[in-house]
Amino acid sequence: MISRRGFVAGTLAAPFVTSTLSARAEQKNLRIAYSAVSHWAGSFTAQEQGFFAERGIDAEFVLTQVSSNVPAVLLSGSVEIGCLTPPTFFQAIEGGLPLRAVCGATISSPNPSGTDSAQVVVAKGSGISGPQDFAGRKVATPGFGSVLDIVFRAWLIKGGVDLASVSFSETAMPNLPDVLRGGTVDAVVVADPFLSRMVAGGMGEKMIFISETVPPGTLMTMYATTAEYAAQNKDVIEAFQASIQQANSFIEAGGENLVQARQAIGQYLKLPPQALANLPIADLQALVDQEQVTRWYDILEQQSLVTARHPADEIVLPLGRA
Amino acid sequence: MSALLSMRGLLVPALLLLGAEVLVNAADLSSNNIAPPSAAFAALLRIMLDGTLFVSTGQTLLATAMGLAVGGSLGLVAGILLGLSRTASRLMTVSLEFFRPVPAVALIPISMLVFGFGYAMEVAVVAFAAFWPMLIYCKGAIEAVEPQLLEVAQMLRLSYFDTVRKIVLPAALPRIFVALRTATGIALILGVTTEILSNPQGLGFAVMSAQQSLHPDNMIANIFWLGVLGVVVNSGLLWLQSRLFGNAGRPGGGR
Repeated sequence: MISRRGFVAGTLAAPFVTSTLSARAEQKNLRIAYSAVSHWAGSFTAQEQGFFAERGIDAEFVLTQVSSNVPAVLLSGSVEIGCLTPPTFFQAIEGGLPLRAVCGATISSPNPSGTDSAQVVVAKGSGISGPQDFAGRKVATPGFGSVLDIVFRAWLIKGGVDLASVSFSETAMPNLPDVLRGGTVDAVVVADPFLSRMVAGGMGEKMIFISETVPPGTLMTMYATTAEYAAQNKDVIEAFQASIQQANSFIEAGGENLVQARQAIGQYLKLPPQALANLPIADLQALVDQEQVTRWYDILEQQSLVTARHPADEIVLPLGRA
Repeated sequence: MSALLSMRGLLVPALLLLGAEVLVNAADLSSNNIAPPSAAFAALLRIMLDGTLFVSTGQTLLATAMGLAVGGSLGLVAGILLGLSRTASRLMTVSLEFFRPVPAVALIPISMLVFGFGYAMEVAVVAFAAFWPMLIYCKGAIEAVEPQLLEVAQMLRLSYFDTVRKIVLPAALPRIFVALRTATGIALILGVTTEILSNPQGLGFAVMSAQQSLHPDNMIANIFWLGVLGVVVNSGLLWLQSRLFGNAGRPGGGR
């Protein structure tokens, strides 16, 4: 039996409760798997600046150990969006996994003066000054088949080096400085935040290879989902794409926005303040077009990592308007 | 446990820690993987106080316990069946020997694809790893039951179920407990390994993410805590074993 007072209170409160519940119901939960690199600055910023929330996305970030885990966790349904690299994406497609590119995250630097956030660091006094000098040397990369590993090999091939003459080893990114310092290898292929720390600590000399291998503006990291999720949630995908584009513009404005973007990165990578303060943010670009897809198929085919090509409109979702 | 914590037993670790402290500070190493013990202990206190250590510990222990329960139970049942029936043992030998050498870590990618992140993936890997020692040890324990005891069961015309419940299990229980101890150690290792490689939860993940976020002090604190956890779990099981079976569970005991 409801008392009169209870009925009146309930009637008065109903509109507020209903509006609160409907606002919550409008928010769609979106789980995003990411690895501990700063290339996902766009999505971190979109979350921290409220760009996702504005479009009804309740994003939840899930840290994964390596981005090569992403196709499996996408297909398992643990997450809806995965942050990964083009080699992982295109090889997953090659393997028959039904993935779709949602949008790009970062591109190689359009500025060839060496602002790439990943470079090869050679031991001091190693005598290595160009790709030809790597013959007979030992190089550690942060994972066979990773984007850095593949682009570095493409750089050597472009420089006329027989890959069989180089001794490659696979070492987790945080351990790369130690293997170079310990003399286990002659060079390491490393990305930020480890790159900046190594160079600042005088551990070796850096050499650019990405800008010399792929045209400026080549896709380096991206966001993907499953074909099934994309087909059933076009509104969420468009909202995600628009949020990323807004975040990219926000970061590109520089100044205070850049400071806030670094703070957003810090929220998810939990880096010490000194590592975060001067952390370079790679160039951002949401667009993935046919040219980007062709560039990657060229590189992957050269290293016999794919056998079939898929057109962009088959595997890349159209980019909605910001 | 008391022997473990005796003054003499603590002397070597204390000297090693002191040496590491002096060495790391003197060498002025700026590594992503090395931190002086004092910084690691400070990090340990920090993650204890903010509760993250206990959340991670709970996740690792829960996944390990669930995997052990699933894999251990299946291994126990299979061990009893194969231990009691030579025919079943002969029939299953080839199949079991085919799957037994498969490293449980090799199943992590498949488990991740099927279950995704979370407990189910880790439990599946831990269960597979815990199944084999339980099966092998339990089968051996059942086969080692005195034949005279089985003859007594036949004379008493006990049913198959009663023979297992009243004769076989009580006689084999001390050795089965040793199997449980072995399986627990393996389960804990596999649980942490799964967390380091793929599952974003638990102590293994805490170690890995601390390394990736350039906090070697935090990483070493979590590794140290894993060591403490291993000692506590093993000591607890040893204590339980001595309480339940006395000397019977020890190698050569109970004869």
